[in-house]
Amino acid sequence: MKAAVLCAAGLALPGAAFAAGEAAGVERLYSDWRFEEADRALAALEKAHPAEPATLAAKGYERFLAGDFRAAVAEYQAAGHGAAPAALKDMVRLAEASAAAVEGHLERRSPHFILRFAAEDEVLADYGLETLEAAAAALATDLGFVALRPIPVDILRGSSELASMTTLTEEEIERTGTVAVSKWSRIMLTSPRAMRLGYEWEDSLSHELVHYAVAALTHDRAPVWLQEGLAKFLEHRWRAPAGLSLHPSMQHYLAKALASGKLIGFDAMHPSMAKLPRAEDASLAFAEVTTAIACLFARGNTAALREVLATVRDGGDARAAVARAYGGSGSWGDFERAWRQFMAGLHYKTLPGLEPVLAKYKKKAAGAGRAPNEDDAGGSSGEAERYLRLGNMMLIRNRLRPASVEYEKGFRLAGSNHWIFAVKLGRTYLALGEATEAGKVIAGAEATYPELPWPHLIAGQAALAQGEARKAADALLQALAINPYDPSVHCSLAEAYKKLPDAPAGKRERAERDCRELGKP
Amino acid sequence: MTDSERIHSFLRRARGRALLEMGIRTGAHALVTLILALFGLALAAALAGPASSWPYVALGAIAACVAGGGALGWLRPARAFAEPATLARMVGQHHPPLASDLLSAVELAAARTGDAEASPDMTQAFYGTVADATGPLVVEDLIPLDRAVRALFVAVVLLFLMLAGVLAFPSLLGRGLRTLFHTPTLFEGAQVAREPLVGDVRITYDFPAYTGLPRQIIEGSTGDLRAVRGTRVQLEMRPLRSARQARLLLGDSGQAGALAAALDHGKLQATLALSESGSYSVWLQPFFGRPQREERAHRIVVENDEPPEVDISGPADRLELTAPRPVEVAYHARDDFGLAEVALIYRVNSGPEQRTLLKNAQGAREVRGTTTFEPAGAMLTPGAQVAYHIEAKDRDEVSGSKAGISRTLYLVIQNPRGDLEEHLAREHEVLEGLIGSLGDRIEVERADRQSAAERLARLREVHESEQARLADLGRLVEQQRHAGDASKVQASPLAAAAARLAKVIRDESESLAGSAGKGEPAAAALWARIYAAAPRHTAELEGAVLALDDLIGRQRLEDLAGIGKDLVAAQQRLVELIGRYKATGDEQLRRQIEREVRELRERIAELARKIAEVKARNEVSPEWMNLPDTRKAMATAARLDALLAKGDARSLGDALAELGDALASLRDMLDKNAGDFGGARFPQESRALAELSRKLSDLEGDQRGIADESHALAKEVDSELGRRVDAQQGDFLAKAKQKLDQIQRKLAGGAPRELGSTAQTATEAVRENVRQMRRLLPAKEWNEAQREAERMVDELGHLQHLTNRQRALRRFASPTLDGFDGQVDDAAGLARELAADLGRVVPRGSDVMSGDQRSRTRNLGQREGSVEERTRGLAHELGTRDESAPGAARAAAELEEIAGQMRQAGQDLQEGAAHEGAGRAAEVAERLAELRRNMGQRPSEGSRGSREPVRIPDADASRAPREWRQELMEAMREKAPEKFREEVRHYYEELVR
Repeated sequence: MKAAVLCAAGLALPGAAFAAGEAAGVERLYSDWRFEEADRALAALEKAHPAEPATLAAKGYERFLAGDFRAAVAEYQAAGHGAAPAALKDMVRLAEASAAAVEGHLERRSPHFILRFAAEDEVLADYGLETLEAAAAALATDLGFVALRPIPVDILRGSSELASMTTLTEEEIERTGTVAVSKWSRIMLTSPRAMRLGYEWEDSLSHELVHYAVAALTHDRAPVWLQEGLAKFLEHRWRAPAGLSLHPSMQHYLAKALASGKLIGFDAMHPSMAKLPRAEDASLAFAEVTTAIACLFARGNTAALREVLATVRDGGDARAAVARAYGGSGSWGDFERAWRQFMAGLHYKTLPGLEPVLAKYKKKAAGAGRAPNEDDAGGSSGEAERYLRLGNMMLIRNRLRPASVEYEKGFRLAGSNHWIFAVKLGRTYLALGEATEAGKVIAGAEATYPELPWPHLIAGQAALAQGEARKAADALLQALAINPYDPSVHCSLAEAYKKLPDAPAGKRERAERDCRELGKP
Repeated sequence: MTDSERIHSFLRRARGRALLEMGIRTGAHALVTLILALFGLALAAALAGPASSWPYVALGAIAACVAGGGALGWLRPARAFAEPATLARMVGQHHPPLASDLLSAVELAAARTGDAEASPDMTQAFYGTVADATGPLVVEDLIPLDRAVRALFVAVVLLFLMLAGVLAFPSLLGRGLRTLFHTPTLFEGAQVAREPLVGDVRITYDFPAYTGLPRQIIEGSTGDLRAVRGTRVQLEMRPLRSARQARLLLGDSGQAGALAAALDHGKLQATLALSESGSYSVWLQPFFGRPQREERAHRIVVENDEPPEVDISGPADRLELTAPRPVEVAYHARDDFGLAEVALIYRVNSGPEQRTLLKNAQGAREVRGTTTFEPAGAMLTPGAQVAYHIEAKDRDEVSGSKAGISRTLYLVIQNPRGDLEEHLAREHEVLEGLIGSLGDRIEVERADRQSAAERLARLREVHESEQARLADLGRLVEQQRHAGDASKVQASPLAAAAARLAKVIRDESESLAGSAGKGEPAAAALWARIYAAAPRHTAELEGAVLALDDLIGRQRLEDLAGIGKDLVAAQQRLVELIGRYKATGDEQLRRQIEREVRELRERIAELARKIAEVKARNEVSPEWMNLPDTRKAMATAARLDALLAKGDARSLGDALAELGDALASLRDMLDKNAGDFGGARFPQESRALAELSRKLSDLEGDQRGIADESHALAKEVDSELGRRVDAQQGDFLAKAKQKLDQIQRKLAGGAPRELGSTAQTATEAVRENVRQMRRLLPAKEWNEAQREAERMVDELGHLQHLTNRQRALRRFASPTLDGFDGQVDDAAGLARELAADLGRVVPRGSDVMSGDQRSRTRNLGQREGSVEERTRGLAHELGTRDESAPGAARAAAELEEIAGQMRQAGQDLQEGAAHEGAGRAAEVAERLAELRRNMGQRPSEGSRGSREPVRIPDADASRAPREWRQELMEAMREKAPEKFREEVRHYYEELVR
């Protein structure tokens, strides 16, 4: 689209054909994520043809990539002189919509990132920047990625904002549960507040940064499957060493697909995972590509990953690059067989009765400002649901023992895979001062549903009550990485930090502050 | 003083005394004479009667007596006694010894003054002697008043006798005296003629312009006048006696004056304007002799212009609605001389009266119409009462316009949400109690550290508390049952749960009986027994809690959904209003829009408040709490005011459309939420609803099949009918047209006014019949034409009845009425001929059917019978089932009605009436479709949010036959006893409906 914009801008003024050609070159450089060269070319163009529409349009694009949307709109409008061609108008609309989406956002910077967020999401800022810097450092180690310019990161209020800043539709975003996009040299992420149950927003930030890094390292030539595989494989690098780490739900989908032979082909993942028909398909696709990269990593470590990226950057075929980096015959077929064996060797199992935790947006206008809540899960637990209702009625009325009795009935009836009973029971036991019971009852849910915040929270609080501050802090940080809006997470974390002699005072103070601020009515 | 002077002094005193005595006496005599004269004259006047001469005679008599009295009693004596000699003689008469001397002395004095000379001394001496002789004389003794007093006494006595006579005989003497002094009126002065004075009376009525009545001329009248007030009447008559002057004496005794009448060429003419009822008589002054007047006065009857009669019909006399909706109102106003404005008057609560002009009748005698009544929405808050009636004014320009008022109907806006809040509050209270009991029971069961006796003691407390909660629950269930069908359905799971709970509580009561004070071993055994039954007991208690919670959640969500629908309806109404405002710029409309925008904002705020309450109270499970955010709708609604004030119609339209989208989305979300909740929590009901819907669909499909086939068959029959009629059509149509023309001409003059408005209505109905026939015949709608002809025959029969009745009531012949009677008879004959012709020309549908068609109709009739049977079966099934879909009872009743209609349709078809059968069958199919669409709606939902007017029930479909209605209305106009009049009117109205 950008090329069309620049051509259109140039053709609008026939005398500026030369400038248009130069500007198209600048655009190509930016589109190839070759920012240093692009910046230089743009500076030269500005010097030579400062007032040419194509130059202005190129400047507008540069500003758009930098996340300075108002300036981008101004440049585009100057380029169009009020009679802008359709392509230019589209860009103006996109820039304007982007500007509107981040209107009034606050901004916080770190060495490599510019984080913009709505006031109600301020709690994300410090944790988010820490995650990003940590992830950037890991990627520098793993892939040799170095950010050449500050990376704009926008935390958006909901799916409509994400749609207005990307080329995805709102329906696609909600259907597939897409929460973040790395595009146009920027990272855009939906606030966890917009999701029903929150989501692993810190991993998602890291995930998108991997995309950014891969795009920069390959000049945006990596296919989707490779992009997503690397991103998923490396997304937890900000907090953990490199290695395969799939959630039980993904393991479940993969095991199911392997058993039925219904894996999703890599080609079907183009142009975006978000275009897959169902969120479950997206989960399976992620599992597949992640294991593919894990398979490669298992053979060649990070060097193999770097080799693949370099080959792709130089125009090589991604499959061939992977196969070659994997070694052996160097054929894709061999790699595929190895990969399948690798997957089989993981011995993942289907989990009967598993309630897949899908990233779901809250219903429109339905308490969008409210923090994620376990009661919004809405999963049907059949007959057991009556006990959930009765337990909730008792809990609301502070009848803790009867509540626990009702939840226990439901828990027995629904089975341990229905996490809501474990969470409710855990909470009630904690309130009854029965931390050991709480720890026991939540352990299964925490293992099966690591993408949910409440099992981590309850596990953390149970550990804290049992005097295990380190374990508590770890669990609470995991809860925070999914739902940072729950004040009890911060309060418990502050408590845990107090009990940890080596905990940095800054972190404790931050937890105390967030406990205080978020706890305000 | 000399002797001569002493004598003269004496004489002067005597003179005065004599004059006094004579004056009194003569005056008394004159008075007596006058009294006697007046007595005589009074008697004569009483006998002769009033005459203009009597006052003169009476005054003459008085004058004569007074003059005579004065002359004889004062003038004559005064003159006579002016002469001293006469005076001396008179004294001498009274005192003879002095007579000669006194006369001599007087004469001597006269002589001394003349030429004769007498001796002065002698004269002096003589004088002295006479003077001395008069000295002792006292004049009063000399001339006593006895006679005068006697005469006066007699006069006074007579006067008293006269007065007594007047009092005793007032009709004779009193009347005579009055007649003596009274100038007679023309009436009184005239001689009463025993024979008619006039003949060939011709009366011309010129009615007031507002009545619209044409001039009416009555030849050969009796002279009695009868017309509406303000009518000018011209009287023309031929005097039967020669006369030089004529008058009309007004009033029974001429007391109301006289009206000049012109006499010209042997004709008497007079003009009068009728303002009051009364009478008149003709007065003629002959060339010679006393005037004459008629013996019997002619009646003048001024008819009142009666105020209009107004009827009103509404959906109900007291209509209760859950939310404001337009209401269909039918009205019928009649006036004897023409209506002016017809208006609907209403008052909301005790607010000012509001008036909506419905029609300017412009003089029409009868106006019928329907209107959709909708008071300004802003005033119709829940609980509001609107009293409304129809007012019709006539055009009486003479006495002033009069208004007729219909009875008053009432529209009451229910307060369902207020009621719901109360219900919910009660339900919440019971729910809290039940939850408390459940919690207590669980805690007792889990109190492992307590002894069995302690547990039993605690359980007894819990048990008692639970019994109280059960009683509350029972009351709630009862209340719900009494609240109506919908609540019964909703409450049935709750009722079942309550019944089960009651049983376990009873069981536990038995177990706990006598448990108090038992030792630990016995307590432990009892506890063990009770504990074994505890899971079931707890489960029933849990069931009751959940059932009540479901009920509360459903009511709350449906309430929210109802508000959502209301909001959308209000927005749509605003769109309509703004459209009208754009077109008219009417300021009143703008104010109404402002009011309704304000109201809309309040409703959005109410919804927001309720949503917040639902969330705060946790009234529904979290999964149903994804309730919409009303802020956008509220902000848009708030913008409307500013735009309206600016008059920015375009932006207003845009904002309204935006608001419409926001509200529609809000409604959809609330609807879905309520629907999903119902589906999830009341699955049995959902299944029942789906099953019922399916059965109704089946019935509807079969019914449509019958309707379509019947319709096709009816078309075939019509076609055959048309073909047969076509053969004789030309000749028949020409004859029919002729007859219709004749009927129209016969009734061209309209019904005489004396027949009343009913006859005028009937005449108009016949004209309408003629118009319809003119349309139907060329269109070859034979069946309809046949029916129209029959209606016309009936209508004319009714007119004949009215005319005959009026003729029987009349004392005098009326040429107009007689003429009209003849015209009606002729028209009725023509109408009967026409109907008979149609019957001959147009055979019945069944007569032209082929064998195959007959078989098909019979088959259709049998199929209809089969569908009817299934319909009745479904109605029975719905009526007997305890738990069913919402509105099942209503649906059962509706299905029974539908089955009745099916029977009719089946009979029509069986009898070969394909046309009628097809029509009924199609109608039934529509009713089934409507019923299917409405299934699942609770009674309160039917009206909530709907902007459809509330129709008058059976206003069209179930009308009583027109003829019957007419008969009833006619009968109604017959006067009922005063005290029963209102009841009778109500009775007839209900009967007609």
